[in-house]
Amino acid sequence: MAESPKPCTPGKREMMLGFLEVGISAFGGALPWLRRVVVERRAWLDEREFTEVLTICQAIPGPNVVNCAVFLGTRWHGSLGGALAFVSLLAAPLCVVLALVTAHQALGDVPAVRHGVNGLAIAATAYLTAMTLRMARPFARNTRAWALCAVAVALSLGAEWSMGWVLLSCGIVGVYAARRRWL
Amino acid sequence: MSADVADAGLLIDMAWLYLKLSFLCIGGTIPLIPDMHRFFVESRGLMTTQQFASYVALAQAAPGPNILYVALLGHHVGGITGALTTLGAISVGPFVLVSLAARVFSRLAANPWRETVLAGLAPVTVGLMLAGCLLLLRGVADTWAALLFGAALAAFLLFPRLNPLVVLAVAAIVGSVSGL
Repeated sequence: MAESPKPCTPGKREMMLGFLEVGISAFGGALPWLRRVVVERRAWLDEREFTEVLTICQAIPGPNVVNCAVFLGTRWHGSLGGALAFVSLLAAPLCVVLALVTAHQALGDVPAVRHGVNGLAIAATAYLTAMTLRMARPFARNTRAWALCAVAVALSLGAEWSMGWVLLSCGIVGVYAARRRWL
Repeated sequence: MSADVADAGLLIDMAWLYLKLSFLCIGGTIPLIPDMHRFFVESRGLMTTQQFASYVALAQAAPGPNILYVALLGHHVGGITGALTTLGAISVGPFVLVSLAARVFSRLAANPWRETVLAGLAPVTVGLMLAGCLLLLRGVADTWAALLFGAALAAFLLFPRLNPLVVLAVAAIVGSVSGL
């Protein structure tokens, strides 16, 4: 990699074009694309700053990429900047997805299409499962963490607790356990 | 799009559901799937699990953040208005919290509790995500062949070097040809 130029704050228009680029090119996970545009191509942040921003945005509820865009927009141009970042990231892919679903509705009765979408759905579910298991890697060898995980599954699926209650009850146990270094 | 009185009530219920969930989506929106599934499939009967899963799949096959399946669920119920309702509502919590965080950046970065809280919540988040995956799997893989196919794909996808789009494309073709 060439020596990175000093990070510079983009103007509103420049910023929107950047996030638009992230939105339309982000196939299969947008995070690598965000890094590519923000750090490598446009040099608005250096690697260290990007990692800091990402770490914070991962700790806040919401999809990481959207959080990062809003975070950066707000830091650069206040609340308006945050809103502009949000819209420019999501508007184009939203239109694409809505077009896709309209096509799907029109062609849904064609058996080949129906079975194809079913295959796609199985693959998407498999992808989510793989992503979930990869997220479990940091505690993969910790039996207590898996026990807590199993309790969360049981409460959600078996007892049909809503997510807030599962997060609250198991979360308190988890944070306490992490504090005592059990996890 | 049809927006008579009954639909307006449904849109408001949907907006309220997502507004509540928007403050809880730690680790993305996937851990919320059991709650969404309960609303759209189990309690309101607005769609089948299969339809629910196909929206998740379509959003994943298209460009952009995967959160867009939330818009598709709203679209199923209320057209464009529905899509904007769910996408808007799910974004309220993160938007508010991120805006705040951007203003107290340095203090958050240094907080020693952050690591502890993240480590404590990780197994819970993973548990909720697994619950969502199991729900979807039950809906899309109703034969042993389909279940085996899904397990094989998941094993493949555990290798991060593999482009997930290639796997999605192959699965769509296999499904289309074999009549899954």
